[in-house]
Amino acid sequence: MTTDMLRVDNLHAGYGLAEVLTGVNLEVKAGTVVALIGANGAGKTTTMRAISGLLTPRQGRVVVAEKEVQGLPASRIARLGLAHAPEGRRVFGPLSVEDNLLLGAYSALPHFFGFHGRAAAELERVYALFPRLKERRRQLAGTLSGGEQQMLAIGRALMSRPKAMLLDEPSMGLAPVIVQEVFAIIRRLKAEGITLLLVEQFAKSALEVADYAYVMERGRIAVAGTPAELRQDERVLAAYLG
Amino acid sequence: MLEQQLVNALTLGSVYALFALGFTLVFGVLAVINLSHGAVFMVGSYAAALVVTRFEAPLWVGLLAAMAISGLIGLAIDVVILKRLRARKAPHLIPMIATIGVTIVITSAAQGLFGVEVQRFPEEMLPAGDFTVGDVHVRALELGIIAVSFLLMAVLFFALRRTQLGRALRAIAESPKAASLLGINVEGLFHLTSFTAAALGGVAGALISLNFNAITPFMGQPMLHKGIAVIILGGMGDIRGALIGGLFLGFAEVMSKAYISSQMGDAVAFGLLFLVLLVRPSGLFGRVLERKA
Amino acid sequence: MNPSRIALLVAGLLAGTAAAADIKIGIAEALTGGAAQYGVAIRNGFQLAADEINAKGGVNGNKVVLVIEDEQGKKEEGITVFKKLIFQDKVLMIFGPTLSNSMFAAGPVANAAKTVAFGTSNTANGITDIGPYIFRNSVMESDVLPVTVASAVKHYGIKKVAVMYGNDDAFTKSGYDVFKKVLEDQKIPVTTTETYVKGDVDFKAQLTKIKAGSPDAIVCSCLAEEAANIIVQARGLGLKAPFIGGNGFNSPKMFEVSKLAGEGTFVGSPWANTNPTPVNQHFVAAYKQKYSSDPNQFSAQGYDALYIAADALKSVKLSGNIEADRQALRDALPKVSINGATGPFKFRAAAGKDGKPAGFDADQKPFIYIIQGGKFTLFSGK
Repeated sequence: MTTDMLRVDNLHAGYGLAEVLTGVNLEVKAGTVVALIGANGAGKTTTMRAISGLLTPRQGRVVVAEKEVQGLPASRIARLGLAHAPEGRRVFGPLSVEDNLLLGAYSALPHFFGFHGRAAAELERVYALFPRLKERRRQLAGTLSGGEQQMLAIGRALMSRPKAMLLDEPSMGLAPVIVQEVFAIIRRLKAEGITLLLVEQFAKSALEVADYAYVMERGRIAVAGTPAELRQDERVLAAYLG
Repeated sequence: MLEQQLVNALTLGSVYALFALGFTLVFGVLAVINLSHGAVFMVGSYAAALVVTRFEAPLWVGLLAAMAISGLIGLAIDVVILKRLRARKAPHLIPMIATIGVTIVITSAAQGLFGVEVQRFPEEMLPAGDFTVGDVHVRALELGIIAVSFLLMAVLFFALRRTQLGRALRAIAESPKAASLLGINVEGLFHLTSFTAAALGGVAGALISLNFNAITPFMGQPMLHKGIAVIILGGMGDIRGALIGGLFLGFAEVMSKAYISSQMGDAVAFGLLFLVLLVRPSGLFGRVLERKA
Repeated sequence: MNPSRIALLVAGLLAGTAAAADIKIGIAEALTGGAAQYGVAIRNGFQLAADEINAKGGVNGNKVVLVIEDEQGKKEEGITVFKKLIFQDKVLMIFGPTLSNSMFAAGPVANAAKTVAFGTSNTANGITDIGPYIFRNSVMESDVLPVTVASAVKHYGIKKVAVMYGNDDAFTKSGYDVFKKVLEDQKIPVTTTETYVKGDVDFKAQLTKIKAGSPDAIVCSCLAEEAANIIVQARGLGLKAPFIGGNGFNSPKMFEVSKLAGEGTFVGSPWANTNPTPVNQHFVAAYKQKYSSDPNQFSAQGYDALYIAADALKSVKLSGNIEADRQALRDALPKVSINGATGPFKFRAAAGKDGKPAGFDADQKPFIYIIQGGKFTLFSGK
């Protein structure tokens, strides 16, 4: 399959008077992992927010599974099959681990009064990926370690069986050994055929798992290519991989 | 005498809890202190009384009408006022002040429609019968009020703990943005919460006016003050806190009237509240409120 | 502008009294708010009397024009309305306000402006101590309650009573003070004294406590709204002792909550619906025809009050100088003696505090009622 699960054309977005994105173009083919790298403030997180609808784009198109979604509220975009594990994880601290996960299935289970029996298969799948979460499923999410919270955020995003997933800075604030664990998980997800757009500070590690990558500079895509091509690029090498 | 006072306190406390429940629910989910909750409570009383007297409907229909009409008013307040303020990202105090305005409008409207004189349920419409155990008199009505209050509270607890809807509401309470990323229609649930909270307030109004049989346009204000006390005591936005806080206030009020002095009822109740807050500044179940620098 | 005021003005114009001057009289009553149930009844009494007086050609050919203002049962509004009536509308005198609380606040304004303030429903002690321009035809609780208590004690053979009152209202508090003194004078022990505040609807805690002392009767200085609920809740707790009430009990509202819970209650009142005098029977019938509802004591006192003022005005030659006319009316009022709906009426000069000049109280005999079969029945003394 070579269809684009996610495509962004000429995306403009910003906050107030500040225009942060000035025409972003990118695409994520089904079953591939695409990395978005770049310096702090280049607009990576803003791109993610504009795609998932947390921020309304000012111009351009966002296509998820062949549906134009720009301008729709985030909840509608989520129900169309886009999962966004945001920067800083944003797990619901006062809810139990399992409640967090079950909420992840919300967009797939529109029934308000659906009990968790309906999401049992998804729950088992996520627990198989993250045995630690199963151990702690009654614990409040706020009491988990940073690494566990990141796993919960990813697990929660997986619960809806998304068509495409955005993963923003999963390694942020984690100890190096935990970062390794997180990348191991991303590799496993890739093996399962997930479609993923990954924003990462650790460009090297990101390029190791990615099928394709974009480099952002000042609100647009500066360079694009396969990891092998980017590793050859002098500028990328100097700026991000040095 | 103690047993009788315990029954008195339980009746009063369960209605306080029911009232505070809606109040705290709105605060928890919408992060708005909705000061029109007292007015909505008053509307519930009139709605029940009107349906029961004008249409000679049975009491349970009156209670449903109270929930429906109050709920719709709560929904209207959210759609017409609070929603717009949210869209404009108004600071926290603004919606609170706006709901004071709503209170004035609703109270004046009730005054115009129904007059200021006390309205009552006709005696023959109230469930007759009472039970006497030793020295304790309990009216069937009081048992009904306690039962309905606890039933509604149990349903709400269950819904919040065990259903996707409840999880979604708790998620919104934590972060509306993160919730919306999971496909939760935050605006829709804000509306639903406003409806539910007002419906609970309205049925509390109907129950209290059944118990004491005196309905006036001004009955919401003292209740609102008690409701504020209850949710501060219980911990802002905490559902268990509203239940325990409501019962606590009911017991404190009745017991201080009974054993200290009827002049001091409210003073003792609020004094106790103050003492609890000295020990636990964020209330019985409240999480410590952090002030970000 | 109040519609009733327009109606009166229009009525005055249509009547077409050419040369005669209008006699402007201010009415400051609580027409909205918690005390409106009294204020509206009083206003109705005034309007009925004014219509009757004007239909018979007014006072010495002059039409009576009522300038009606709503003082909302609030002290602050009372003062505002008094100032408006005195300085802006330039009325000859003012009737009202409804509550004793408000009279204590607004009365001094009228007294200082040398304008009569005439209360028809202020029964608290000390009202007429405000000054020589303060009048009232409301019989004071201290005249009524000793008779009420003595009648009930004799009827039931009462040995001890419990007391309940609202402690944040001038009327119920002053009623309580009188009850307390009467009970001391008549040497009746009190098992417990319980209080509540305005707006309370739950009296069970207090009543449970009262029940524990097993009194022979419950003395209650309460307004009708609360009284009705107190009685019903007492019966709900199995408390069967009869109630003895003050003026506040004197309202058909007593039967709204429950037709029969109030059986055996003793109430003292300055007015009796069933009083067979022709004046009273005429008043009751005319009121019913005009307002399609039964009058109460407050409407009767308002009705009588305007006739008292009209009687005084008959002897006053109006000069058109408002200060002089106000003073002349003030001087003529104490001499009035009429037979009204509330029975024979005359004024009695108040003793005044510390020798300061004081106004005039009512000198009238109360009626004692017992509630039987869901209505007020005149107590015969047996």
